[in-house]
Amino acid sequence: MRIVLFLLSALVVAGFGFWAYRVNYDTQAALRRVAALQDEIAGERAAMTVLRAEWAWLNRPERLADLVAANASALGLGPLQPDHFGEPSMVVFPQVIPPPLDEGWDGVTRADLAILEVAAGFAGPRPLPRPRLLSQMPSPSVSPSVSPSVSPSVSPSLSPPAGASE
Amino acid sequence: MIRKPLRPLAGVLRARAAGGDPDALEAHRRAERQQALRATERRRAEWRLTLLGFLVLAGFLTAAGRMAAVATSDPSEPTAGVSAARITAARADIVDRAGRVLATNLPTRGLYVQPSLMIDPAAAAEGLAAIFPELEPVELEARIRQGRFFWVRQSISPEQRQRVHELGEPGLQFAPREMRLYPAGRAVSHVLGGAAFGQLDVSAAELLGTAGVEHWFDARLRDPAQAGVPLALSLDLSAQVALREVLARGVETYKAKGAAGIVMSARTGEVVAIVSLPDFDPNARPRDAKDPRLFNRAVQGLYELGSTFKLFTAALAMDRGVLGPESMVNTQGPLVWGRFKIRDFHRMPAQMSLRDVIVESSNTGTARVAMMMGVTAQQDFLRGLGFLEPTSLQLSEASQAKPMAPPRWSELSMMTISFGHGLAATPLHLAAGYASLANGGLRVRPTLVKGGSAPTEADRVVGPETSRHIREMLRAVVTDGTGRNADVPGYLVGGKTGTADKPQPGGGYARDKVIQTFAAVFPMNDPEYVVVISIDEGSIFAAGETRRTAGWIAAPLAGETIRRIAPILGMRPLPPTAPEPDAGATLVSN
Repeated sequence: MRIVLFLLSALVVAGFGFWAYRVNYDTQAALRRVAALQDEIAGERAAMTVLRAEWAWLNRPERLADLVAANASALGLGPLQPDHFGEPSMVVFPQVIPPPLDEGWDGVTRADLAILEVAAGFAGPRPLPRPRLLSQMPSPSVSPSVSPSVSPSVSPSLSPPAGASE
Repeated sequence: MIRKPLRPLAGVLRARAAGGDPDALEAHRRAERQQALRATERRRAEWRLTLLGFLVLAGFLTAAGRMAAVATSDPSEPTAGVSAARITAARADIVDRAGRVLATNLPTRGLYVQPSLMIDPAAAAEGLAAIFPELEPVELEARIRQGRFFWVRQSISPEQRQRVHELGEPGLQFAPREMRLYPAGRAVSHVLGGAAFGQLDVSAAELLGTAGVEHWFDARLRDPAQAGVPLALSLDLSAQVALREVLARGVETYKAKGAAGIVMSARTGEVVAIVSLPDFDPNARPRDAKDPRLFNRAVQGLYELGSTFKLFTAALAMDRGVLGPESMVNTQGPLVWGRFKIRDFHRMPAQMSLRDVIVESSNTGTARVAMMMGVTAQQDFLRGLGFLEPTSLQLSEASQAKPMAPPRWSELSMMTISFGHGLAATPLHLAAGYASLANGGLRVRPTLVKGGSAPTEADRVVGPETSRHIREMLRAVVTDGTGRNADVPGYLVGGKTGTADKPQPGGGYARDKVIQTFAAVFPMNDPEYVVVISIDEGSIFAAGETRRTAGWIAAPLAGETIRRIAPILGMRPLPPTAPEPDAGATLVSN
């Protein structure tokens, strides 16, 4: 009986020893991983700092001004002026065609309709050509187009402002 | 264990048979027993003491061993537990009100020489001289041979670092550094100031602010707890760039020596743009502290601000109820006081309303108004507007610019100060004063930090009614007076010109050296921003003669500034056809 007890306790001690050994090495491995991760985070942060600094450097006002000046013919950008503010009436909204109400729409009113069709050929909302400065007017023969009608053939996103394309 | 009976019968019997005394025998035995007991206890106590001694010794040895271990080992951060994210940038960024970066850090490397590791000093010196042409190889080699550690460069570019690396010399070593970078460049040079290396070490270097915001907020920017939070200024980078552009063009057109411009919120005192010309590139700050480009005219330059001061005299008279805007003032000139004569710039009628005194900018009229008010009232009023102390702007330069008031505030001083001569203050003082008068009468304290709080009733300097009259007068100056060139359609600009003769070093005033100032407020029905433009010795040949007055030089620049900056700040102009609303209605801005 005594010997059994002795053996049992020896086994328990050995078991605890093994457990402690494993926990110790697991902890050390975890600590090493944490340190590696922190190094990685620090590296990423440093990279972000550099990227932010580069972004700010590439967007510095002097450089932007030079770029605007160099691409004046393509962009036609100038300083913001008081007459550049637009009016809501200058925005062209999509023309909406309600679906026909004559068949199979019992009990449904127009107000209930959530799905509305956009007029065929309408390419999407677009602003009117922005007002041009007098000095940029190419020639008196060109009439600045300010009419809100938009021809369906013009692709919306890639075309230059209507005034410039004429 | 077999117990011995205390009085064994056999022993007693034996003692009796031998004729002895059983009691004595018994006593002897008891004594023996007790002696043995004492001996045992003594042994035990000795053992206990020894053990205790060993324990104490072991404790001391453990502590001593631990101390020795701690003392001899290298320190290390505790790695377990929640360690805070490591800080990469030692100095916080500075951003403008929209979050655009004005100052940030860039990791770079310093280069140093460790002669003890050096293998071939001659080759190293040659190689370094090839990379950095300004280094002298012979001198460098002699310095390396002295055998002492020294710095070669505090920050080198990645290309230079690669070339140094390619020399393959172990004695040339790199130290990590952070370099301060100002992407916005010249536009913010004076506001930001600069930073320089403080304590140097091979593993890091201190970055200390040397001027401007960098110096004022040095502790905040270096605080490790706030290193990740950028410092947000009230500046608007777009407005700042636009203001600088306008001023630079003005300096060129009018061949001026310099210029200063301020755009400030009239309600909160937040400075939206502040420019001083000539300026410098903050990424290559001039080393010489006496370099004139380092001088910030907007906050350091103490100038007599000329006729712009007349408004304060008028405001004082109206606020104390002495005069109303239509009260008539004697404007006959010249006004003789002792051996001094006060004249007007051009002929004026003998009597004008207070409003016209301001609109036509009459020196004699203003001086007479000041005489009605007295020295003490004028001093108190100017003190209330902050004209006798440095401004509260968070720039070290600003806190040292104490206005120059006459040491003895005589009646003559009072009369000259009433139209802006004799008291020298900075353009920023003027901006704060105009903002305080125009915004309804609450004193505004300039600030550079985003989120300035509006002044309260406790900061009142003039009544709302006076402020309304002031606004009407300022608007009239621009519509019918000397400030016509500053008008911008749709923005209801009001303002006042000021042309001050420059004092000569020897005393007296220079004949044709003037400082032209224009202080504008817009929109006049509900002031949002104050613009102060100050030009140093500008002149233009126009309409047949050389013009030096503020109406010709500073007013057009103020108008141009408003034209450029108001849309940037999101203010819509009023439609041109609409009648001007009364002062008090709200202008819609987006």
